[in-house]
Amino acid sequence: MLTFQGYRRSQGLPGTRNAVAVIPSVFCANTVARRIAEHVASAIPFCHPVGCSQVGLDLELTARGLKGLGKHPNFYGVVVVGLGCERLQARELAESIAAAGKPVEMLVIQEEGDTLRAIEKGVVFAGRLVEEASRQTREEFPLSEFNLGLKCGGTDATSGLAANPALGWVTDRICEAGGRAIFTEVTELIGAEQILAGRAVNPEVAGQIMATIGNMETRLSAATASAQFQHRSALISPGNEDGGSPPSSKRRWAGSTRRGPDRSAAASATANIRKVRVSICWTASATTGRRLRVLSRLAVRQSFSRRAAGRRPDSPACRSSRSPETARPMNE
Amino acid sequence: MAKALQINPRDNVAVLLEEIRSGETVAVATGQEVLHIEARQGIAFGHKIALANLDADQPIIKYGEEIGRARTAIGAGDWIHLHNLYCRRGHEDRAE
Repeated sequence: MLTFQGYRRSQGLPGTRNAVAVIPSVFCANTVARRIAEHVASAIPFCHPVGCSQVGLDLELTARGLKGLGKHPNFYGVVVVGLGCERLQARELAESIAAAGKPVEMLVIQEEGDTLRAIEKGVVFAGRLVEEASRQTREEFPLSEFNLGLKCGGTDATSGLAANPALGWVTDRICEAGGRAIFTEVTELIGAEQILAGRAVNPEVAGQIMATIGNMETRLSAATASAQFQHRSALISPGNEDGGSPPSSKRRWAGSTRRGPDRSAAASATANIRKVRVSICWTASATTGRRLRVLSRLAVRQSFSRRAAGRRPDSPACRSSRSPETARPMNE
Repeated sequence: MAKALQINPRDNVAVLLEEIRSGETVAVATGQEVLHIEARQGIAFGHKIALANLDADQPIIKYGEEIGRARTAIGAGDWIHLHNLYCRRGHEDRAE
């Protein structure tokens, strides 16, 4: 049996890292969150531009995204930082994360009285969590407990030659073992929808894949329809083109009938696609920091026997036995 | 050592693993035998070289999938990029 070394959590999937997240409930708390993390090794700030001046689905997606982030298995614990007067209250965020069985500390800047006192308290909280985390050791888990997140980290000329096929191969091995993978960036999938839909576990999911990618194409098309924006219409970057990426036009957002496979690890895999969900995901990059983005996520899960036999969806054999909090996409 | 890679056996292009000069003979790894093809232009690392003669409008296949079509007739050993490869999608309002 294939296994990996992970950190056990009181609920849900094990983590592969044991970091402490510092999450502002609102952008007004970004500076305090960042300063806290600066003082504590392995504390990671997740600054973002939302949490207030929002209503309805917009605010709800923010709340779900931040709660889902806080419950991530790779965090031992979380420090939630609020300002006090924001729409998305720190308490709501902290209670939701704590309900998933994770150590959570919360501080509210206005209750502390000022920024410096808030930072001081946050450093104590984060330091304590990091200390606790450092006492935990890795344990062996079956690969079926592995959930691989795939995110483009900046395509270069070798991505389609080496990294993406390799990650596609890894995705297949994890899915064969009963684990799963999630990938994003629907804009990158335009042109590859037939390939991906052909791997759907059933016609319903195939339809969702086509619709999700089709909707993105419609949005991009509408956004670039006006002559005023023709000079802003290229989706493929000049750097990608210089590197030999498939054809595109400077005039239009989509240039190729089949450009997805060139860039997508997801398209390099052969595992079946089980779910399509729209949710907020975090994207992390060394150069741009972390950003919140609304993306559609496609959950990939292998079901070999059903692939050949008419693609039946789930079966007990491939259904998750994990906690709903982490087994399901976070917007459910 | 191979200087280009045919990613899928169906592909009619290979990807250059290093920059090559015009007239250079390029060894192409295919997963089976090694093909040798003479480059008709200098081609940069990461760019595509045609493995066969292609008629105008013939599909260009990479990763086993159509990535576009030949804008003009393309000879084996030609550099394939935006100048000789087109795609209708996203350009429906525009005559190619």
